[in-house]
Order: sequence, then C-alpha cells, then structure tokens
Amino acid sequence: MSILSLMFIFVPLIVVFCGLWNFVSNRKHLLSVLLSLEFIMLGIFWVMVICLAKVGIEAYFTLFFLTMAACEGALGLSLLISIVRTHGNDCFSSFSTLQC
Amino acid sequence: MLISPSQLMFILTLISGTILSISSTSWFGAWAGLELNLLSFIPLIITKNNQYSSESALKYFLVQALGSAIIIFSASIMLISPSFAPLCLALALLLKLGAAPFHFWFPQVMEGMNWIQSIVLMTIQKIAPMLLLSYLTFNYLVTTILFYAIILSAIIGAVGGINQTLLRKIMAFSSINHMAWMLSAILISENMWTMYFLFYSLMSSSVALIFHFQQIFHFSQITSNNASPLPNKILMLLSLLSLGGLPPFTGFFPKWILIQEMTSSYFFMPLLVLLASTLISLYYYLRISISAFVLFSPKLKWSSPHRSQSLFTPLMAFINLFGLFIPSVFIMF
Repeated sequence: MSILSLMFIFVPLIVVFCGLWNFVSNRKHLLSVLLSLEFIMLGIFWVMVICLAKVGIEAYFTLFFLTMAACEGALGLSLLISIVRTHGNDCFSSFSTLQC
Repeated sequence: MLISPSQLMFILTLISGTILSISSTSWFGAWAGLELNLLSFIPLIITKNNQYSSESALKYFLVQALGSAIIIFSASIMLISPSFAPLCLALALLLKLGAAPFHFWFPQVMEGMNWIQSIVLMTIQKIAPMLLLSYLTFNYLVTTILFYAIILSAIIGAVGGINQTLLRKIMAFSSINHMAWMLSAILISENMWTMYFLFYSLMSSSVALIFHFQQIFHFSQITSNNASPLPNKILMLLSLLSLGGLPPFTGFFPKWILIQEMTSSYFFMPLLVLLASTLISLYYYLRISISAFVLFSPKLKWSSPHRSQSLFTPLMAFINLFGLFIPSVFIMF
C-alpha cells in the first residue's frame, strides 16, 4: 500500500472527517446537524466511487447508496418538521423532556 | 390490540430489513438492511403528536444515521486498509446497539416510547448489529474493543439503573447490562449468542408486557398498586427475578451456560465484572418487585382499565418458571 495509491482518497477522507466533526459539535440548531449528515453522505459517495473504481467494479451500487441517502435526508427533514410542530423551534436547548 | 395497515407494512419491512442485513454476503448489503430497518422503525415510533415521541424519534434517527454512515464508510475502505476498517465498523455497530461507551442515547430514546415499541427496540433492533459484530471477531483490535465494551456496559448497566424511578429507563439500563452478556457470548460462538438472545428476549418482553397490560410507567404506580389482582403482582415478581438471573427461574439458564463456557475459555476477568454487575442490577429488580407486595398505600375508589389478558398470565408464568427444564430435554436425546 504505497502512498501514491492513497492519493485519490485523501480529499474525500477530509470531507468525511469534517462532516463528522461538524455533526457532533453542533450546539444550536437541528438543521445544521441534518446538513452535516448530508455532507457526510456526499463525502462517503465520493469515497465509494473511488474505492469501487480501485477494485474494478462498476459503480452501480453508488446509485443505490445515493437513493438511500436521499431517503434518509427526507426522513430527517420530516423529523425536523415534527420537532418544530411539537417543540416550537429546532434549538437543542429545548430538547430536555427526556433527560436521564 | 389493533394494528393499522401502515403499521403492518412497517413491521414487515422492519423484519425484512433485519433479515436482509444478516443474510447478505457483503457489507454493502448489510448496510442496506440496516437502513431499511431504520427507515421502517421511525414511523412506528411516532404515533402520538407530543414532545416525547418526536424527541425520541429524532434522537434515535440521528444516532442510527451516524452509525450507518460510519458503517458504509468502513465498508468502502475495507480493501484499502484491512486493519483499520473493521475497527471503525465495530465502533459503529456498538453505537447502533447502544452498548457502552456509546449508550447515552438509549435510556432517553426508550423513555419516549410506549412498552410495545420498547420491546421492539430491546429485542429486534439488536439482532442485526450483533450478528454483524460476530463477523468481525477475527480481528484482534475488534476483540480488544469488545472486551472493553463488555466491561463498561456491565458496569454502566448495573450502576446506572440504581438512581432511576422511571421503569422504561430501568429496563434500558437492564438491556445495556444484558448486552454486555450477549457481547461476551459473541466472543465465544454464534450459537451462544443465539441461545442467550432468545432467552433474553423472552424474559424482557414478558416483563415489559406485564407493565404494558397494567400501563405502569413509574415506580410510584407500582407501590400504589393495591387494585391490581394478586396473580399479576406475583407474575411481576417472577418475571423480574427471572430477568435478574436467579436460579429457579428461566433467566438463569443462559447465564449458566455462558458462565460455563467463559470459564472453560479462561475468560475470567470479564466474567467477574459481569457477575458483580448482575448482582447490582438484581438489586433494582428486587426493589421494584418487593415494593408491590410490601408497601401499603391508600386504596383508590376508581380502578384503572385492564386490557384483555386472558391467556397472558398463565403463559408468562409457565415460561418464567419452567424454562430451566430445557436442558433435560437434551439429555434425553
């Protein structure tokens, strides 16, 4: 595993890492968490295209992955709507009814 | 208990997602099954339009979506770095399970669901991640991670439930504790895990169903439970002691087999922690079950509505009392 073979994965790895960092470090709004989730999915899509091309498989699965990521994004948004309907806003500081 | 057609469809896709996940030949298929599982479980949780269920569904979705993203990422880079990717995958699967140190979402999510949904969360949602974890135990780093997850889950499941009065949170911590036992069963063999999981799902669903039929959610509802008939209270005692793993009851059988296998594998250190944590968790089961008999409270004039439970009490009593005769079946053949 030489360094040159990692050349293509370097940037999408940074994309995934930045998306993960942003996902876990949001304090204010739920919408930014969902946005970072979509960013993670985009980075993973890039990683998946590269890794499947390295192995030599055609990238049919990436289309399926993109479909599922879009479904998840739609589900996240509908959950955001449900949260706004019941809590009034999407701020994390109001999610305290279930505290341990 | 009426099931609407959409709930039926989601239950079917939930189970088919789990089966797809555990019977796939690659990690991509496993991820697809886990996603199907998540997408079908969320509509089953949001039944009421109040703060509890929407917040619980949101927290469940965020945690599981993060776990799925890390799983598909590790699956993609599995051929590039065969030593790091299984580690990442194992951590993501532990996050999806709710094992310590990734357990913080589990009591909160369980608090926002009613008992039937909690049963699904405790039993069916654990099948796919645990079986996927059992595909990773060839890697030394993964077994080390599992070792620490076992010890942490046992301690946190035992100690975390002591200060709880809400029954769903107590069952959540008990589930974390039993998950430590199940993870150690995975390290031994898959049949061990299957046996422990079957017994655990029977025990915990019998406890949760008792609470569901009486619609009990808080410890004070147990202590002021004079109106409930005596067989129900005795059944609560039997089921809780069985869940804690006391010998004449069914719940002792999986722990017995697992203790035997762990000692023959020289796996003493986690076994010691697991046994001590089971003792501590037995304390809060006993606290619940004895309070129903010992404490007297003013009798109310009205009675809570009883759901139909014609065959339920004898069936649960049979399962909890006579499960320990199962080894004798194997001796005969």
